[in-house]
Amino acid sequence: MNFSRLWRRFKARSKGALIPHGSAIAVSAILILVAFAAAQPHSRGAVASAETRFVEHGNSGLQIVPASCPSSPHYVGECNPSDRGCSLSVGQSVTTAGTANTISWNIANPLGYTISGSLNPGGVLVSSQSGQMTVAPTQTTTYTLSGTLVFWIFTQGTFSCQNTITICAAGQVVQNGQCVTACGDGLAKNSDGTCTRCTSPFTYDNTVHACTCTSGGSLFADGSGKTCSCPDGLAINSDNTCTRCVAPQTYNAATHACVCSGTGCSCPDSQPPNSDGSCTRCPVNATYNSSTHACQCPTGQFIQGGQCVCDPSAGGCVTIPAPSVTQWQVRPLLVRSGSTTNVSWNVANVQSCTVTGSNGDYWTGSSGAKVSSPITQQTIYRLSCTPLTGSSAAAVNQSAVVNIVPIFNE
Amino acid sequence: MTRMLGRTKKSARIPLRVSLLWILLLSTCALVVWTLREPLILAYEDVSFALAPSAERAYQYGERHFGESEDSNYDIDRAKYFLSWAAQKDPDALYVYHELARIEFLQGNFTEALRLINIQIARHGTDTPNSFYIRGLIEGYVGMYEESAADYKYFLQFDPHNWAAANDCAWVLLKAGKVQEAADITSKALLDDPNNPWLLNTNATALYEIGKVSLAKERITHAQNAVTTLTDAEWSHAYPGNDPLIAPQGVAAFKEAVQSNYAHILSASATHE
Repeated sequence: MNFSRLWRRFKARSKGALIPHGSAIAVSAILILVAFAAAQPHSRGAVASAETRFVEHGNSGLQIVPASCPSSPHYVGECNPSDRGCSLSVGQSVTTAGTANTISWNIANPLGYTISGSLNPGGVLVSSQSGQMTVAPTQTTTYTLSGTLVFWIFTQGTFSCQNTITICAAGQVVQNGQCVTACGDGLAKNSDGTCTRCTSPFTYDNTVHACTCTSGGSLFADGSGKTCSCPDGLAINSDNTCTRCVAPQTYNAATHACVCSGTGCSCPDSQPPNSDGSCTRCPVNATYNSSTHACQCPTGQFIQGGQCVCDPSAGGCVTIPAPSVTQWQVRPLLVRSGSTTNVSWNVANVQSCTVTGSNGDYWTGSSGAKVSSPITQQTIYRLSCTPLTGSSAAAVNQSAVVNIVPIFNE
Repeated sequence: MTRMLGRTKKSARIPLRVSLLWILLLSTCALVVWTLREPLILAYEDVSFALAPSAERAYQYGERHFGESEDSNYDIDRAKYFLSWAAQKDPDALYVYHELARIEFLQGNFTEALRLINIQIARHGTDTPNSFYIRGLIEGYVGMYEESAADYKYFLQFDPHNWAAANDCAWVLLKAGKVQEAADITSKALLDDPNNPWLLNTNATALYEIGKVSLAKERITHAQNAVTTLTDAEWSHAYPGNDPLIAPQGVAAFKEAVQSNYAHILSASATHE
């Protein structure tokens, strides 16, 4: 093969080309070499930290390995090994087949990168930092949200998280977040978890939690044309229940309860009605909740036998004293540069306290009286205490600011 | 006229070879840009920061080289430079001292790390609850076990289901001699995260130290099984702020520790039985 002849013919036919072929090929070759060189494995060695191989030995000689997952500012939703950079929650983790369920996601994206992800199964594209969608699986399904974070045109990170919706077997229902078997009569529970059975022509209505009328039955005693009648022969309520109320109460079909309405209406016990018009009375220590139309005992207690009783397994009736700050004093609050201030504190009913100064001062203990380090600029002192175990009280968090006396230049 | 039109029409066509060369050139340029993306981004950072420096930009760039992302971004010294600059310009920025404390901690400068995290806590308190976690971590590393446990417990009020806080709190409780408490806290955390190898390992240690050898054996066996499938990515996830390239060493060290505990407990179990 005569390469010089080929080259001459190539050049002749390329006359008038927009760019010289040789230059284009040469530039491309140079760029390829540069890209090849840059594509070589980067010479940066791995950087070890104090954590990389850290282990502590217990008294038994066994090795304890601490982690540090919640260190980063965007740790929320990232401390589950299967969740990386996002969190995926479901409205009901256990439900029945075909029931509508809400899936919500939140992607950690503190630097505002562009999100490119998908939710599977289904392949739903996700580009927002948070959102939700409705699903209705017919079998137990694990949903996975995954994708990438993009800065300009380059991928800067990935995210992946999962959650599972468990579907109960046929004939089972959900009760307290679990699939439960049927009632004692062998039949499935009502969807509200009850085993109430109704005599035809009545059927159980889960929304009103009562037997309601369906088609069939006899005419009312007054001859009205309704197809159902109540056992007492009177007209059925507008919500299809047969609940009867004692005067002066009337039946409220919206709340499905007997209520007291109108001026001067009082309950059978001569006391004023609740704010929702009902005359429901609650045991000692319980309060009536007008939103749920039911009595509510304090946390850790439940109604039994007409009174609130303690449930120790739920932490009921155990009184844990809340923290009590009897002293938190930083004096003086205005000092000359280089002077010190006195910090004293006394907190009862706590596990521990720390006092931290923005100048580096740091003390521990539920009480103390300390002299600060020399103060050369505005300094903030913060008292932080942990309540006793089992207490529902909030943590103690107080601060004080010490300022410097200004120097006036005349 | 026809001749002129014919000449114009002919010269408007681009020869195929030229088109192919353009395609080759553009493809090569794209390849180079893709391959050199990190140096290009670094150059972009330097130029944009020089032209318009701000605390917010410095914090963003510092986080970019310190956060959990592609390993090509990780540069703890560059992160420290930008974050220090941000702290000087805006000391009230929410997490700036927190991040600087983490960097000092990772670099083994525990005294400086403690000083910085104390500044963070004094300035922001419970606005950044995981700053108490960081302080607990630093205190644990320097042997201040009582103080460390107090900070971990304080943080757990804000995030009671955080497995790492439970695991680390149990670590310092074990070192402080509060073994039963360590066992309780890890047992409770395992209800939320039953296959977590860190929790299983620490729980096994605590159970062993209170004499529940057979239960410790069960836990450490579970830990041994769980750790065999631990990936580099999962390790990096449990130790944010570390170089992703060091993950294989971290995984190996953790596996060695669990394996050692497994052998120790199994041996004790045989004697015990």
